[in-house]
Amino acid sequence: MKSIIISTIALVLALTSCQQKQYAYVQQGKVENFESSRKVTQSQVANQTKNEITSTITNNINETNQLAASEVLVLNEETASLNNNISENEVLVYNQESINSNFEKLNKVEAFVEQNTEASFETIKNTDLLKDIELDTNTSANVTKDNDLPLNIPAFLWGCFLGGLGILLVYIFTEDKEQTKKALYGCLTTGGVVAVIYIVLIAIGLSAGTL
Amino acid sequence: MTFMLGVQFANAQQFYRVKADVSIKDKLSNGSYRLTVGKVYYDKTSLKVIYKLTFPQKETIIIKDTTLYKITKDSVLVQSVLASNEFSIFHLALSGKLADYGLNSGNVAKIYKISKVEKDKDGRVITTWSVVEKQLMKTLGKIKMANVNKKLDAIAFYDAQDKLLSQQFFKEYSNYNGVEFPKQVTQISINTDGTQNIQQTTYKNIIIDQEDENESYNYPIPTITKPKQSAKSPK
Repeated sequence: MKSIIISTIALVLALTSCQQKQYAYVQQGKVENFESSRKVTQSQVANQTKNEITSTITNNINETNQLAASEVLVLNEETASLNNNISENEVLVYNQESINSNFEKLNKVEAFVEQNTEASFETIKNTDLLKDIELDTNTSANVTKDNDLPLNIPAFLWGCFLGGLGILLVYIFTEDKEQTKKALYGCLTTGGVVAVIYIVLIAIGLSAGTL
Repeated sequence: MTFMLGVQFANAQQFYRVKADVSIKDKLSNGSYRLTVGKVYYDKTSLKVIYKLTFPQKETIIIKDTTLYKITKDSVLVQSVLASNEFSIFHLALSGKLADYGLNSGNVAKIYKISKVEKDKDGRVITTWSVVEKQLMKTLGKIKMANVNKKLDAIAFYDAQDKLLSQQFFKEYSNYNGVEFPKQVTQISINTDGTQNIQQTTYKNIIIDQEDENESYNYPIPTITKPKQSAKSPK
């Protein structure tokens, strides 16, 4: 029983180490993806003849991967342009007609409200002014829109996922101690979770060792 | 170079207050609208924005640091916001940094540098700002801006994958006691699903460095025992 548990843990550790090595290869750009990484691992343990065959296959796979990668790139560019729906040259061009048409209905309400300073949503909600308009009355969402954190991601998550870098980013953009503190809490939370996982794993390993 | 010198010259004189009548219109991606009308006060020394709104209802909104206080006649709502008044249009205009959106000063200057300057067919100066801080290159994207007569006309923000995040257009500038302030700001935010939210803010009756109405600029922040949480308290 004891030997089975020890062998299982050894196998899991070996697999984890192997996976980490492959991930490192991918990160370092030595291999394109997990599939080709597996080919490299295989070729390392094969004999010379097998190496030649594997090498040819790997080359073919790499060529295929390169072709596939270029196709993905083209596809991504197409998707990006579809997503943006606007070219780089047009992005700084103001389309007044389009903007005005978006606010055509609301402009009438705005004009009325500006002329009648005592008008409120309550006083006009059942009038013809709002007949075709669904008016959201959340004012705080309106006044805080133009100066958010980068990518609208809360400070806590910046710290949580990017650690020290996230904290730095929040500090640079907000120059605000409270937000930076939140990013720090996010960072500490991640650190705490990782520490707990390690402790649990070590505890499992030790208890298995005493069996 | 001339552009940068112009920006530096504008920095020479410092202003500290701005007041305006404001109207904020929103068209949301779900087809609904928002309309907010009232007055806005900003004091640079206290970094406090105060909105005294009349529509959709009478209420006062104070934004200080990252806390928003929404004060109506019978309640105070406190919420945390992801906002920095130092990047508000009021602060940038008063500091003479609106021309480059504050990208060339403070901590942000360490992140972004000008990578390209060109002129478009209308003679506008198009500047591309790229991330130079290596650690942030995978997180932040470039910023493109267009300037007309050294005034910011349009700005576009991208993510790290070069996908457009938002566009802002600054129109109808007027000079108020030396402060160039756009009377109309339009922002188009692109959501992750490709839909858009459009916001147009109109400023009227802009006053710079007003010496009266101190009670509005210094509107007291309500004392809340438990900040960052919604709370209702009778006034």
